[in-house]
Amino acid sequence: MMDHLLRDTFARHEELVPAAHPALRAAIFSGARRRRARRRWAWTGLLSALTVAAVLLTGPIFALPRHAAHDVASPARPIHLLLVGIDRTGRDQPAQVRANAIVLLHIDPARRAAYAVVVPHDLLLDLPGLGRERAEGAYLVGGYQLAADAMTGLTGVPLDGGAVVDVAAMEKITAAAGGVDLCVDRRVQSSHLADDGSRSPGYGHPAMVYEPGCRHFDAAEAVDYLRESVGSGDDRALRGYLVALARAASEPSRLPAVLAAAGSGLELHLGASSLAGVAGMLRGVEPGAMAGVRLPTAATAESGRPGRLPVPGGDGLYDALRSGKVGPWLAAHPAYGV
Amino acid sequence: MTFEEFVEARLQALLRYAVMLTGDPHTAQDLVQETMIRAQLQWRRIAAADLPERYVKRMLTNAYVDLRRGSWLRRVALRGVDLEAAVEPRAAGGYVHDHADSVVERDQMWLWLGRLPRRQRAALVLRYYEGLTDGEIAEVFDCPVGTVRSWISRALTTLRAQVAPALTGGDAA
Repeated sequence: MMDHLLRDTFARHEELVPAAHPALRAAIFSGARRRRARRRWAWTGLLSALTVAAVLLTGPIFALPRHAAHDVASPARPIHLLLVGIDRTGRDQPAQVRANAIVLLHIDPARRAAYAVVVPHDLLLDLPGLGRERAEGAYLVGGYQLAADAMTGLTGVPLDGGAVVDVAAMEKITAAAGGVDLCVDRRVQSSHLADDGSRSPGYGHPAMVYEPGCRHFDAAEAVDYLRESVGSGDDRALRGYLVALARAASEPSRLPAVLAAAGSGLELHLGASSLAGVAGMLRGVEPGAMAGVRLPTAATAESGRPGRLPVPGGDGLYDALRSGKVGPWLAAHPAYGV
Repeated sequence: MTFEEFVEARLQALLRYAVMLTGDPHTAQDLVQETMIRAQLQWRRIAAADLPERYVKRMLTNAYVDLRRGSWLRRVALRGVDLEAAVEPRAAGGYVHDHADSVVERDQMWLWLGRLPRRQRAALVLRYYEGLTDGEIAEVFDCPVGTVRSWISRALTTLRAQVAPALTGGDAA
């Protein structure tokens, strides 16, 4: 009875279906051309929170006063942190939050260098007891720990800690820092904010546009600008934000609020390390010097599970991570630079 | 298959699917446009999949489920409200010679479909319009089959409670 009614209802409403008008095709082709021109690599997804997550952990840490870390000796080996970016906004069921961004942060204090290895959300991983699953699904099923175990299993890189970051937390931390001064190089139109700062572009409220130039951004604008820029593959905006956040947060009157916001907004998994300990290891690294690396993957045609498969040995990246030779590896494999 | 060939062959079908999901031709076009732009950007990977159309349908379904207030598709929500008003004239005008009362009731079905949670509605469209099996629907959502069945069962329960009594004279079977 219901089956029949439903089929009948759908069939009768086919009359609502518009014809595939040439204008729609034109919009599809020109839209893709525009975006491709802005992108260095062509996978979309919600990359927004991805390397942005790095900001959230490292920003406040960079902002720690140096004396807080003076007693921590710099380790000779590189350290690795896993950052999982999530976006809870608009989810009716919190239990169904996927990781939309996973970043392996490689920090090499001896060489004063840091690299953010970007893990595609649709990377297919072999999970203990679950078989082949997507990286985003690993977080959904087993939380941070399963995502961390899966990444260690894949790369052989021991993790020193990590954090789960959500867009709201990012905004809180930026607000505690009193906003940031950012320089925009290229016009960016927001898909989340209207021009009057309200959260709903739509009829009567055109979308917020970030024009080129330098100005002060409040927290909502800064985070929104970052989501848009990083989403289109532009990590210069991210580096600018990192530096600006570190600068704003290191204002002595702001620091306590920023650390409190970071402490309550981030789900930290630092294991044996403390925030101050990690800060010590990060001490010589210039925030602006962080480089992005794409995890080597290959497309799979495996039926039913579209996604990417990791390339065996990561094309040499995993060894480079373990031995602290990411710089030379990246120089030899420039295609993986973000 | 090139992206152009795919557009030629499947655009109309995707529009049909999007209308069944959203209940509204304008929103459906926005959704299809956005999804196809994204699909073109990652076409090499999609074309390598066994069923490119299934992959794109999955992207479209996710985009529909993810529509949120405050996003570029906020107008979707606004147009959704018009649905109730839109049902009335069609029922009164288009079908006067048919069993008018029962058509009005059946358009209640369309109205209630629009009020279901999005995953539930999408699951119904995939099963009863697209003719997918529960296993195939689970692949679209990338979730266990049991979850799909529970969405469908909850959706059917809602529809039975709201629509079926009027249609069947109180027999909710």
